[in-house]
Amino acid sequence: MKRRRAIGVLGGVAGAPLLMPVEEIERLLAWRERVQDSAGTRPPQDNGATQVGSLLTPPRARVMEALAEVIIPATDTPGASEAGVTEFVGALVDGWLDDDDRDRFLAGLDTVDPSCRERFGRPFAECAQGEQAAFVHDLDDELTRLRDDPAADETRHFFHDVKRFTLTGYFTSDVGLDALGYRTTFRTFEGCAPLTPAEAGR
Amino acid sequence: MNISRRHLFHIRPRRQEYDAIIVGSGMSGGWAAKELTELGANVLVLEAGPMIVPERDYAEHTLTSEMPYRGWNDRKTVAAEQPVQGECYACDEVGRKFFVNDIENPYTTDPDKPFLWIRGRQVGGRSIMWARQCYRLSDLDFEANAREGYGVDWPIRYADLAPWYDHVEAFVGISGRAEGLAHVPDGVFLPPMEMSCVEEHVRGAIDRAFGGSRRMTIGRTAVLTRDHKGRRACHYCGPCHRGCRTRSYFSSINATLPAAEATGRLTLRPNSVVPEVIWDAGRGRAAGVRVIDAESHDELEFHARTVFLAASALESARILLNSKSPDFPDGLANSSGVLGKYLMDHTMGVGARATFDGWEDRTTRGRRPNGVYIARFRNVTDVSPDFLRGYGYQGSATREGWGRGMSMPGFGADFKSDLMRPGPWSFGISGFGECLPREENHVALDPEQVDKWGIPTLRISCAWSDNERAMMRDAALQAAEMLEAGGGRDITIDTDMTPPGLTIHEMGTARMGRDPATSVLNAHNQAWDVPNLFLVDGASMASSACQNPSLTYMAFAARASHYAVWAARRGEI
Repeated sequence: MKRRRAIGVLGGVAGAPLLMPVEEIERLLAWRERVQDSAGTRPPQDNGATQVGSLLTPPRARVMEALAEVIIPATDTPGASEAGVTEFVGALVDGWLDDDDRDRFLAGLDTVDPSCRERFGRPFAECAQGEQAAFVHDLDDELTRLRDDPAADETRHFFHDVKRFTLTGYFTSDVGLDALGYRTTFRTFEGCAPLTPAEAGR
Repeated sequence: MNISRRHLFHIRPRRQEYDAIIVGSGMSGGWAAKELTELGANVLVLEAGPMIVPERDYAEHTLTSEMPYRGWNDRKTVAAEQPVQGECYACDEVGRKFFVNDIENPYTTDPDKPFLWIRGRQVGGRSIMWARQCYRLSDLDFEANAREGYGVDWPIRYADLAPWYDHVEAFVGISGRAEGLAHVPDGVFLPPMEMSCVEEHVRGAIDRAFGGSRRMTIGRTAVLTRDHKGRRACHYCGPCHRGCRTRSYFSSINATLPAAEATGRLTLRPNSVVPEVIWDAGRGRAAGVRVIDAESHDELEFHARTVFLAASALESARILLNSKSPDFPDGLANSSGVLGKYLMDHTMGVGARATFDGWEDRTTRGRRPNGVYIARFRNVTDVSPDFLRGYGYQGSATREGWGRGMSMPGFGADFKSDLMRPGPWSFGISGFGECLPREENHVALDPEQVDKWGIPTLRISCAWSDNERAMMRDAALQAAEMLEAGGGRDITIDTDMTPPGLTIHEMGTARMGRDPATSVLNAHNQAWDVPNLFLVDGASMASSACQNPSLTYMAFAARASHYAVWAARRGEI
């Protein structure tokens, strides 16, 4: 439905002849990223927690939260879990991702607990720290291998999404902005300022 | 801004004749409003979109944590309602409210010729979201058409426009550095913003490597580096395109409209869609404009001694093409037949990026709403065998942020602390090239399609030519060469030109010229066919040059406004 409306913008409103070939419209609309959704529901307007009925079901949310905490753990600053990364991923799953991307991501999440049970005898969230690290290490290696392979597309691997959702969810949250020392305003712009001790990692 | 409710909602009786009606409240319309009211004229500004109240509508300090999609945009709603507007970087999760709904504002294009028409319909127009870069044109540009036999000769030269550049720059407040380049003339500048360490270094390296023939300077930008005419200096928060409560960057709503309002002679009517200019055949003049109220769809008429179109190059052309009469069957002021033709934009999307080692204990502090500029060097003193005209570059060098982690191996505590520190210095530059005026790049009324208000829409036919493609191939190579000369490594080249329209410098649809048979406007932005009709937006451009054009539109709007007042006093219009 939405696809037809979007085409109407470029090809004519209802009843008018389509002046652009459909392929051309497709190409144009796909210019920067695939902006067409195939069906989907209206995105949620609130930034609330994972909704009732979310496709990021409680078992999936537990896997996601545990993976995110391994990627961005609590250290001297809070980690991914406290930053609300799981709620952000829920919003993406329910209102942002296209259906096929969403399904591929969820299918990937669904493989985590079965393979952990096979390897460690426990679901991921209940594994020991070392087991979780070993598991994530293997996923990250696989992603790196795909990235370095010109014939492969690593963005289709679910862990690519896990990682970018985690980093974005963390560093754009209040917790993440605090950890980065984010400031909104500056007295002036400095083009060549010395690093602060925090930026220098001291 | 202080546009009072009295003026907003107490529209004077319809029979009243204004001294001037201005269609459009953006960059050009704001300047016409300021100049005309300050010269004593009673002015009605008609804006198709709603009122903007900065304290309510600006959102520059919204944190990513406050956005449902954390800055990744509400992409499904954008895809459904703004599939064209969403291609513009500024149509983001917070700023997309300043862009039109594409369903309500349709247009068509030729097969195989995508054109992205990016529009803002609200008081302030696109001056709210513009990228604020300001460069003067020069005689290299004003003489180009005559020299090369392309398009028509500009009816003015730099000396005609220079005092008006001075005039608008002094009010706008433009920060920049004087460089003494004849082809990108210096202006009235506020103190420049700082370059970053790597930008300074590469500026010097390019100067040495190319024998002084290529100049990198800090961007000349309409952002205040100190308090200026009641507006505050910039506080470097970053996303100007979402508004600015301190009025630190120039927009009509931040500066010219309040100045016009202060005269007591401005009437501003938002939600006023103008389908056509009314032609008075008996007097041989424009009598005023027809208006459709955007909300009620009521039809109204407003009358004035002069009509200024400042609705944008494409909207102003559309209004005139729609203004048909027995005297002007092909559109008002179109006896030449060139109305809607010679559409231009600037090429974009081509450039290079490199990583720079060193300066590891240094970073930029603050979010500079500006970059660096490399002035045109092709066909300035030498002659390029491959293409006419030239291009400039815009770009910046900063340290990478946490986003680099998305394509890096790693996880865990060390990974996290690494991403919290600044990454390597990365320098990207992107070429903006001149587009030749070509008759086949044109707009016409679509024979069937209408917009939400029943007004015929545009069919846009526009494509880059071999000259633009050859120019951008060169721009990609030269970008890489300059970054390499500066010591950059891991250089990547971007070669995909974006479609016309996306640079949002569309212009040329009612060009000025010396001959009424081949141009729509004379040297004063005045329609040859209709002496009391002025087009003061990008429609008037006879060539595109490669510089960002808003400053030139402002200078033309101010100059034409003064001319109109003098002509009226002499009884000519």
